[in-house]
Amino acid sequence: MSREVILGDIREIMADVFDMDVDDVVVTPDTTADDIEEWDSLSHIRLIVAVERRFKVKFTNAEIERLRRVGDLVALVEAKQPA
Amino acid sequence: MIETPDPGFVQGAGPATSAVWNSVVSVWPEHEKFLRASFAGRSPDLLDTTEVIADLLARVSRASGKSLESFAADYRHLCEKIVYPEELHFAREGRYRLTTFAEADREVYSNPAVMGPYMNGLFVSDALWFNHASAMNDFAKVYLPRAAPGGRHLEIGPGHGMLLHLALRFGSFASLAAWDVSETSVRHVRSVLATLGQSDRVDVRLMDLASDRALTENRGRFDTIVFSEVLEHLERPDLALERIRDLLAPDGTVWINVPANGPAPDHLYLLRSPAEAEEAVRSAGLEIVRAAAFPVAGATLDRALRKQLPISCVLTAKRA
Ligand SMILES: C[S@@+](CC[C@H](N)C(=O)[O-])C[C@H]1O[C@@H](n2cnc3c(N)ncnc32)[C@H](O)[C@@H]1O
Repeated sequence: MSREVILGDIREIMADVFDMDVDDVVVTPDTTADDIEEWDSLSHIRLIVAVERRFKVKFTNAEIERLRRVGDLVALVEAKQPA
Repeated sequence: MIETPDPGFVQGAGPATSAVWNSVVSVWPEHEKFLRASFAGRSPDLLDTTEVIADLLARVSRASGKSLESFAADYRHLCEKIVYPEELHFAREGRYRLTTFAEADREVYSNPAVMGPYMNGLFVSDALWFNHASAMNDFAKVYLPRAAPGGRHLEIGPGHGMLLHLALRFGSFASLAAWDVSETSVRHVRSVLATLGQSDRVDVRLMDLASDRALTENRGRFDTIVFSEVLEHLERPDLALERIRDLLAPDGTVWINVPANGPAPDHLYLLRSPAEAEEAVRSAGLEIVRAAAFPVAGATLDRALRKQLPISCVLTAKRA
């Protein structure tokens, strides 16, 4: 799965978790919670779990706490994909 | 992008509220976004109640020699180390992590390293979290003014004593009693009352709601009962509600505050909506007089229900 595909999927997940219209979710690898009003610490947890479900991966607590940029989330999903 | 506001920017907030806000932002700058959402659109009434809570916190802080920054640090610990891991478990599994009192007792109640910051952090959350402050406001500004003056008041599980303080401040009771099963809580409430110079106004006792004594000595005795953030801690919430019904005077009312979808290490009983809370109360032979629901900061009630986010469910009930 390419990074572009993962990013596209994560964008859809974000729209669902943040209750936004997908067209209103503008994401680049550099997007952080600072850019999206609905992205707070609680919805961060919901976002992570929705990503875990979609890609069948699991993040550690330390990884979840560290994640800030969408690009880091994409990279982590990619790293956890079976080869 | 979020601009950084000047300290104490909250429109209409009082000095104690601003002091609590600023101490939290000083130990946890990233939390400001949540605080802004939590204060957006607070009514003058709610800001007033928030100020009463924050002022009590400031007084307890001065009396105990524990700084507001130290309370703020406990609040950060509560959110990051105690609540968020439970939120993660809840989002993954769809249920609370623990199911028995024995487990909660071992992990939380009998563990001072957890219990201390937990109680202090919750105190701060009563001012800062929209759903917590709104429930307190409902009690102070809606429930208490409707209670007939001169009644007998009981709080079950006063914890840190905030609602007793509000009852003393906004109510006019002939007598006030408080029962808690925890020695630590009883001591804490007594010291808070001493700080307020109100020790002789409230009969604070070590008492288990479930004990035989609680009922035999008090059947039909109380005109108003407060049962706030206790139900979700119990293995047998059904029996507790039936017990409360039996403690109520014929015209008495109980004010219940219980979270739906509110994971915490010592929460055992999961309600998924205000409707489920109402159903539980009705099943115990109580009739709902009034219901209100306050979603977590930043969410509408509709969104909180769809996404299973925390909701403070407030119910006033009488004997059916
Ligand atoms: C989370 S605190 C609630 C504090 C406060 N009422 C509030 O709303 O913030 C729960 C309290 O209920 C007490 N409690 C739990 N089970 C009880 C029982 N069976 N009888 C009396 N108190 C109980 C606990 O010791 C604790 O102080």
